[in-house]
Amino acid sequence: MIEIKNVSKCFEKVKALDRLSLTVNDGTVFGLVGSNGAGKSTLLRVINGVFKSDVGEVLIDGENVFENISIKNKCFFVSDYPYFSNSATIENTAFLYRKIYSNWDEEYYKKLCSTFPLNIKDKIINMSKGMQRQSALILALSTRPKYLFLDEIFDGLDPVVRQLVKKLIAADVIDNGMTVMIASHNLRELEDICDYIGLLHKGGILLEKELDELKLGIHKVQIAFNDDVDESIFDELEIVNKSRSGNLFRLTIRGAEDSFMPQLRALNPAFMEALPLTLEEVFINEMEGAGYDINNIL
Amino acid sequence: MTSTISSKLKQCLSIFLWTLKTNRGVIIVYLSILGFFAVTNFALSAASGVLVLYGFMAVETFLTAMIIGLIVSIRSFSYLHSKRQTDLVGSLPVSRRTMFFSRMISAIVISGVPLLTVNLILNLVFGFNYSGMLIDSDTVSLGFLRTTVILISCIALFGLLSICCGKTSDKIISFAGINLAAPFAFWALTIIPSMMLFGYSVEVNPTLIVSLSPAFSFISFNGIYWLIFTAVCIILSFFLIKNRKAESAQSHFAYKLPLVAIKVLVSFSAGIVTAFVMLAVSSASGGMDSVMFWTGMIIGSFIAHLIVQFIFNHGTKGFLKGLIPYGAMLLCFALFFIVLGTGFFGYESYVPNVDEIKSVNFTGGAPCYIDGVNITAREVTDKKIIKEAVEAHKQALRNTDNYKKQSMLSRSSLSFADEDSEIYSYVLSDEDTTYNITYTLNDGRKVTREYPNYFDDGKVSAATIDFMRTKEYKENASPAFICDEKYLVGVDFDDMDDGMTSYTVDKPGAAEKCRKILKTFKKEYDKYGYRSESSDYTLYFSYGKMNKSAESILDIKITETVSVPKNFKKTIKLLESNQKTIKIVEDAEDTYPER
Repeated sequence: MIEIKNVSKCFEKVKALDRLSLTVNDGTVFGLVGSNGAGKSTLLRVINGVFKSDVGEVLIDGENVFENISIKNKCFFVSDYPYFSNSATIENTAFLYRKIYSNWDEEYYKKLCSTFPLNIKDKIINMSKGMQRQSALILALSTRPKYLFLDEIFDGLDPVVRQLVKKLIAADVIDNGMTVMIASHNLRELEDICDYIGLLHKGGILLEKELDELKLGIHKVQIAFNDDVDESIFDELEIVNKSRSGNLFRLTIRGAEDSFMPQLRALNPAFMEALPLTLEEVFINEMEGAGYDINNIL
Repeated sequence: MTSTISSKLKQCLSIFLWTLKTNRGVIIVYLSILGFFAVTNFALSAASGVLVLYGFMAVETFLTAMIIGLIVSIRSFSYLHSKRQTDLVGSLPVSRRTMFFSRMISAIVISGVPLLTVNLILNLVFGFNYSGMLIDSDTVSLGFLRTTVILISCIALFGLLSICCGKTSDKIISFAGINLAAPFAFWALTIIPSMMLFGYSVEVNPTLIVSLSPAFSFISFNGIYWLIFTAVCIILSFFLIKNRKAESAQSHFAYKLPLVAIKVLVSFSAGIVTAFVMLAVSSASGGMDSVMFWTGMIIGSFIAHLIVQFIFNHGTKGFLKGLIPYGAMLLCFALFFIVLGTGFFGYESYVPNVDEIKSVNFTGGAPCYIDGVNITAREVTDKKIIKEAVEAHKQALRNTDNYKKQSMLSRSSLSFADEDSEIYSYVLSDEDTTYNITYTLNDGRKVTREYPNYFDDGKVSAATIDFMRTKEYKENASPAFICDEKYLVGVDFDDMDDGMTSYTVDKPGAAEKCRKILKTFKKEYDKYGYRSESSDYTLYFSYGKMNKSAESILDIKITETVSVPKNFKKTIKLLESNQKTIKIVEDAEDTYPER
């Protein structure tokens, strides 16, 4: 289990993480979403012991992770721009990982090398961005991590490889109880793979929910009336967003469908339809709710 | 505990091997260059028997080793200065210390082991015998070993600076800054007191001057010191690496203190250099030396401060804050200057009482030791001589009063000689340049003062000059009288018409001739004194000993030069007869091997 307790991290005057607390259960896939500069990458770096938090602590399996070799041995972090030296190949990087990760799985490594369309003797630095990420993933998964941390892993991957990656991750989660934290702006991909979503904003966690609960907890509703109605008729509902075009209203309502639909029906609409939001829509709505003025940005 | 250590060693070995693997190309190129230098130079040396070729090889090898060491160090510690590398390395299950020291060991091995390997191969090829090239295998091996130690010191300092700096460029600039600026700073701090305090005796210690500059440690190499320096760098690195902020990669300094120290050091050194240039201009034009000195100091240091501030802070950010250490540096130096200028708490005027003095000795220059004995000064306990010396000393101080008012920065002399260097002593002749007196007090303390006699046309030190001309002074400050004859290793005499004739004791029968000349000269000195007109002959008595490692090489420590007075007829006759019978007219440079 990953426990992040009241963690703060400042870079000179910029507060990247602000008293952030979060718990990630074992065997789950946790998606970290948030606006640019929300602190997603910093959080992953603190969790992996790359950065030391100014305040608070990160516990993995009950132990502080900073400079804790036995805990780090269970983790693998693939950063947003994975580093490879000029002479690095998958083969010679595996030479190092094989020695320093006690759980290195040679068979699985060979299997992954044959699964991904890569030559292990090629210099990684000469590979495309997507292929570099694949190389990083081969090495990461071969260490058989109990905790895998991925930062923008889908960036640059083609659709087929994206599916392959998701499949491999899901298999490891199911078969080995691996815990995965993925920070990404690709909400469509996160929607497919994540169990939990954490929304970061200005260094703090805005919301943390199970994906289904998150998606089912907010709906977009289109509702039309024959007559002209006053907007105050929706006052009793928890409206997140509202727009009007004549007598047609588009509402984003927080809450379960069962709870607000009877109230809307009672208003005798001419037409009414409720749909769950995509993760992207949830993200935009929540960010708007947090004061992130999307209309002005756009 | 044992398993933790063994696991760390295993990790260390893994990283070490991996680093070796990634540096294969560098190692191959490095070995090829070293091999090429060794083979070509020794092949040419063997063919020609010219000793100097080894010198070229030593320089080539040293420069190659330093360049490769620098490249390997930059590569090895670059993970601290790249955000992407920091992400990778920081998340590996390897402690920061293990990672850092594995990299340091790799850098040392990659740049040091090829040196020792080439040396070993050379020794094997030459069968540990380079006699054909007038050089012994110990000298060659020590040269390689010295380069290796310098290299290790440089890597250790580079590693420490890598921890403190956020960027590779900052690290390189800091390394260059320390190596170049520290010698100037130390030199200035050593020299300025001798320029301002009348009587202050200083021998610039080259080891101290380069004490923070391993890249220049070859100037005065002290193996023990550099090993201690390396150990200190390693210990500091050990403590600093653990809590280094990884986010400083590609950003600011991880630790601010070295940043401040480097800024102060560089601006101080630049200020001092400019100040001395201004002082030279001022001296040439007869201007106000202190004003010019300080103008140079402020202009030079401020420009250097601006440049360093701009480089390290990427612009004018933090400019005002940066002025605090700069101002503190100037203030401290100003206080130092004022304290020296006001006589350093009575240092200038202090002369011990005769009753307090146990013994006194005089030298005409820097002391010279052979087998631990100072051959340029003898301890004198005779109270009469002590009293005369004290009186001469007091008179010299009285004579300085007017002189002090005229010049603040050029009261005393500079001495650049160290114990082992060859110096020229003029004690026996009338051309004495410096009067150096050391009192040993009854409580064991030593009081040393040095007075040059060339200021103000000699008026300032008239009293000391008179004292220096006494027989007592000369006989207690001249190697000819103090030094055991066994250390007389050569006599050269220069005739204005026929050139130089040389005897060195390594030549058959020359030892006896040398001694005979010295004895004859001393006899006539006792008889006639020395204040007569000089003849055409100048004598050079060389003292030292045979080099143990190479029987044919003389290790000359000091050469005393005297003009032979015309009334020293027996000496002149002896010299003339030697000149006629044995025509060994050689150039002195050819006779003396490298010292």
